[in-house]
Amino acid sequence: MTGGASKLEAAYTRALCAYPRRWRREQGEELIGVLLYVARSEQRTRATPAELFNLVGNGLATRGLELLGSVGRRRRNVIAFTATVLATYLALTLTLLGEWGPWVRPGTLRWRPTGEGFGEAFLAAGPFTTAAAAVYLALLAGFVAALTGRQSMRRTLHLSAAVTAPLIPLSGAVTGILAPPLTPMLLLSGLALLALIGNPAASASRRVLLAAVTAGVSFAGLSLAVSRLSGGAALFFYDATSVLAVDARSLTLAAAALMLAVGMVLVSATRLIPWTAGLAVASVPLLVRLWSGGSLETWLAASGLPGPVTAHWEWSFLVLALATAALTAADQQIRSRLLRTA
Amino acid sequence: MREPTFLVLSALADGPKHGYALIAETKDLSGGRVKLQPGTLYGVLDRLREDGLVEISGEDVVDGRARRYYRITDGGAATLAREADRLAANARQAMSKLRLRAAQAGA
Repeated sequence: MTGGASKLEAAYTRALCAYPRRWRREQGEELIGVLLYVARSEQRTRATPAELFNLVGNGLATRGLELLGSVGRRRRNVIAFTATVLATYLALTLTLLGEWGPWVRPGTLRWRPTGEGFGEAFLAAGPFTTAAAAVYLALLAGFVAALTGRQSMRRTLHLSAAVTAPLIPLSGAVTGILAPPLTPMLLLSGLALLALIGNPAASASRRVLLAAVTAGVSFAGLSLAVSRLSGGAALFFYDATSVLAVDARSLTLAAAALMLAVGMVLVSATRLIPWTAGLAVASVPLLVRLWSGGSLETWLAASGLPGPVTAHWEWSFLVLALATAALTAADQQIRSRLLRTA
Repeated sequence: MREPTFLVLSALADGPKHGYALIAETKDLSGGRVKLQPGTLYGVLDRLREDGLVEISGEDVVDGRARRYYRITDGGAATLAREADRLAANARQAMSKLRLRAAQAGA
């Protein structure tokens, strides 16, 4: 092998690292053979950028598909279900609190960044405050499509919401038109993408469950958010520098953290489930704090429970987490023994 | 069916081929228009194998490197025939509309 060829092979081998290990073991040599053959036929001793980009892209796509395949259809459907519920709740809440609420309309706002050059014309996107309303409406329409069993329409709507969401803050930065910051839009986009990895409502009973859970979560989440808005203070829901307890960022972060906790348990391999289930239980206090701020403490203090309980309620979740991990591990042991004896 | 998939199935229709031959054949079939990157080709082959439309038919060693041959399955041939029929019907419709347009322009 000449120096040029071995360098070329090394470049291809490096790019092939994007593929999963098992794939490389089975087909890596063969693909490198084809790549070298193509290079020889074109009398090249260097890899082209297009070739390397293509290899890395396809490798990552193969990894993604393998990961999805390893998760299993039922678990993917549960992830899609959870993501659909959370994305719908966020779309509804952000439409009501961020876009449409009379207290966020131009001309009535105390939050309005005076002197920063926002004219009335830049604030209004039709009846809404920003163009992000289009993303929320697409998510809500996607939810309706899921309920009516229109899978391909649901996928199109969720995908277009996922793609558009990060573009709105970026276009806002370029054009100067008021737009939400990037973080909440990226988190929302992530949820819309997760809603695509499975079918959230594969049967009629699932559709009823989806409608019920989404209605419950949206009502509870919206009530919680409204109850935390401090006494009638007008606010800009998307203010990136806001110190308010409830805004687009805190709501999307709370939803993303909940999704992460659920997703972590669902995608973990069977032998890791005791650990991830324990971790998920241990993260409950963090999730509660993200969702409710100090509301829970206030409620606990008012509930008349003994002082040590109200002051150290988080610790009980560490104990619960250990118990969950131990119980799940024991359950797995018993099941595997039963399987062996059967 | 996307064009690379259609071309790969077409290239395999007359007999098993290895990766490099598939790249050359799909280029010929498309009149030089489509030049599949090896990464794309193997992505297409992975999906076709998963769907049972293509299978591995053999393996040899060239320059100390394994080289696999791929073969279209009966299911793959049926799928390709259906797609070819659909494309041919579309092409016939388009041609008849174009003839109509030419006739109207001539009148």
